[in-house]
Amino acid sequence: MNILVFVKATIDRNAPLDPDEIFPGDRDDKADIMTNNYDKHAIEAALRIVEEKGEGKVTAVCLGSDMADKVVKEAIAMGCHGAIRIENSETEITNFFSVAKILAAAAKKIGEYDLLLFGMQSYDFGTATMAPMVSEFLNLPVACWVEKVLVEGNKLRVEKVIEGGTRSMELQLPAVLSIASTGDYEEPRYTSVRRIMTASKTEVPVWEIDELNVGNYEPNVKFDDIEKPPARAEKCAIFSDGDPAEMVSELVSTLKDKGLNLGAFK
Amino acid sequence: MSKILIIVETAKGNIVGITKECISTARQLAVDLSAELEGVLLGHEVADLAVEATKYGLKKIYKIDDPQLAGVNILYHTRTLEALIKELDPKIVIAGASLYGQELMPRLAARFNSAMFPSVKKLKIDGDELEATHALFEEKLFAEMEGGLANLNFITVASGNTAEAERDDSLTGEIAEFSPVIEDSDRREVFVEEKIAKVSVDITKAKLLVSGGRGVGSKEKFAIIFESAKQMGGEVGASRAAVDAGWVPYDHEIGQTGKSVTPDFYIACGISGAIQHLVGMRNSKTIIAINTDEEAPILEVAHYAIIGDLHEVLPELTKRI
Ligand SMILES: Cc1cc2nc3c(=O)[nH]c(=O)nc-3n(C[C@H](O)[C@H](O)[C@H](O)COP(=O)(O)OP(=O)(O)OC[C@H]3O[C@@H](n4cnc5c(N)ncnc54)[C@H](O)[C@@H]3O)c2cc1C
Ligand SMILES: Nc1ncnc2c1ncn2[C@@H]1O[C@H](COP(=O)(O)O)[C@@H](O)[C@H]1O
Repeated sequence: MNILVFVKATIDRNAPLDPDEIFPGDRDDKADIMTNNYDKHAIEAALRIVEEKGEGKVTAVCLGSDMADKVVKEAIAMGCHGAIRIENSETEITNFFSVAKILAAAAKKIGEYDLLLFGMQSYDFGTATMAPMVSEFLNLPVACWVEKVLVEGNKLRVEKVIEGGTRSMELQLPAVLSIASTGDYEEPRYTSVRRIMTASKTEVPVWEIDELNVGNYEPNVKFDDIEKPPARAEKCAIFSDGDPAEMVSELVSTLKDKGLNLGAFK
Repeated sequence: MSKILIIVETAKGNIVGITKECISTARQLAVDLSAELEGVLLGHEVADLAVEATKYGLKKIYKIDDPQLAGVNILYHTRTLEALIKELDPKIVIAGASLYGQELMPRLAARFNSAMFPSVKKLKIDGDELEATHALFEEKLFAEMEGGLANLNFITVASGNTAEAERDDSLTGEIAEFSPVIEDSDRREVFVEEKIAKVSVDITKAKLLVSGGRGVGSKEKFAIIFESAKQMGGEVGASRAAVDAGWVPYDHEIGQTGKSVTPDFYIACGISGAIQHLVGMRNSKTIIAINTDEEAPILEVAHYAIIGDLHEVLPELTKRI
C-alpha cells in the first residue's frame, strides 16, 4: 500500500497575522510557520492504514518554499517514510486551482500510489477544494471528510461526515480521501525524539515545478485584495481571578452595567 | 436569455436551507445579468421536491429522478451534471458550500478545467467581472476573488450570509426531465448507507442558549446544561463532540453540520471554539464562554469569559440569574 499524504505549510495560529505576509515564504522566522493542523489527521490516517495492513509506505508531499522544510520534517518525525517538497519560493503559487494541478502532476511523477490523502482544509486559504480537484485531474474516485477507513482488498470502505450523521461508501483503489479532524484519526500522534533524529537525517528531494509537466495551470479565478475585517470594538472581558462565585458576581455586574439582562428569559 | 443554474440539495425529504440561501444570493445576479434562474435536482422519487423548488423562485427545474441516485455518489452527480451543463450552457453554476457542495463543485469545476469561487460570503457583478469574498485564516482575513463572466463560473455559497429565500406558493415553474449519465468507470464509487438523525426540537428561535461541549465530561454531567437552560429560560445547544459522544441529540448541534443561531445570549460551556462550531454561533449578540483554558479559540469570538470549571461556574451563574 503506497500512500501519498499532502501537507501544507501555513502561518502559525499564534503568529501575528499581516495581510501582506500571509505566505510562509514571506516570513523569515521559522517559529511563524506550522504544519496545517488538519494535515496531521491525514498523516495519522495514512500511518494507521499502513500499520494495520502490516506493509506499505507513506510519502508526504508538499508544495512550498524552503520555509516548508520544517513541515516535511515534521511529517517524517510523525512517522512518514519519506517526503518530497516541490519548490515554490519564487513564484508563490497559491491559487488552489494551480496548486491542485501541480499536486496532481507530482502524484503522476511519483507514479506508484494506491491512496492519496488530504487534510480536510487548509488553515490559511481553507478552500477545501484540493482533494476533489486532484481526484478529478487524476480521474480517481473521491470521498471527503472521512472519519473511518477500512481496506478490503483493492477496495476501501469509508465512513464520512454528512450533516446530521455519516455516510458509508465503497471506493475502488486507487482513490483520494480528505480526512476529517474528528472520528478515528482525531488525535494525531506526536513526534518522538527517535523519529525527530530520523527526520533530521532523512534527505528530502526538492522538485522543481518545471520537471512536472503540469501543462497550463493559470487559474481563471484570481485572489485579489487581502484585507483585515474591521477590528472588534471591544476585546473579550476575561474573569479569571477568585472563586467561581466571585467571578460570576463580576460578570453579572458587568452585564448589568452594559444594560444586558441575562435574566430576561425566565 | 442566459442562465444561472442552482444545484438544489435535499436531505431527509426536504430542500436544505443553504439552497434557499443560494437562491437569494443568485437573485441579484440574475437581475444584473438578465439571466433566468433555473435549478437541477438529483435523487430518487423527488417529484414533489422538484415542484417545491419552483416555489422559491426557480423558473425551471431539471429533475433527474432515478433509483441509481437514491444515495449520493459524487461520480454519478459529476457525470450527470457535466452533461446537463454542456446542454444548457449556463453562465454560472451555484451550489451551497455544504459538505455535499464542497465535494461536488471542485470536482465539477475541474472537469471543465475551471477554477471556482469556493465558500463565498458575498458575490457581485462588476462590469464583466464576477467578484466574491472568501474568508482566509478562519475568518481573520478576507480575500476578494475575481473571474471573468466570459468563462463558465462555479460558485459555492457559504451559509449564514444571506437570508433564505421565502417560499411563495403562488410561484410556478416548469419541470423538465433529464436522465442520469453514468459510465462504467463511475461505478468505482458505490453508495453503501447513510445514518442521519431525525430532528424534532428547533433551537434556532431561542433568545438564550446554554451550550455544552466535550468539556462537560459525560452524559450524566450534561444534565447540568439542560438544568441551567431550563432555569434561565433558554434552550440547550451543543458542540458536535458532545453530540457524537451521545450526550445530547443532534437537534442541539450548532455549527457547520448543525444549526446556525443568533440568540441574544450564547453561553458556551466546555466548548473550545473550533471554526466548524464558530460558524454557527459567532453572530450571537452576546457570547459568554466558560472554559478552563484561557487560550481556547472560543475567546476570540466571546464577549465575556469566565476561566474555570463549568461544573462550579454554571450553577453559580444559574443561581444569580
Ligand atoms: C466535517 C466536520 C464538520 C463539523 N461540524 C461541526 C459542527 O457543526 N459543530 C461543532 O461543534 N463541531 C463540528 N465539527 C467538530 C469540530 O471540528 C470540533 O471537533 C468540535 O467542535 C469540538 O467540540 P468541543 O469544543 O466540545 O470539544 P473540544 O475541542 O475537545 O473542547 C473541549 C473544551 O472544554 C474545555 N474544558 C474541559 N473541561 C472543562 C471544564 N471542566 N470546564 C470548562 N471547560 C472545560 C477545554 O478547555 C476545551 O476548550 C465538525 C468536524 C468536521 C470534521
Ligand atoms: N501547497 C500544498 N502542498 C501540499 N498539500 C496541500 C497544499 N495546499 C493544500 N494542500 C492539501 O490540501 C488540503 C486542503 O487544502 P485547501 O483546499 O487549501 O483547503 C490540505 O489540508 C492539504 O492536505
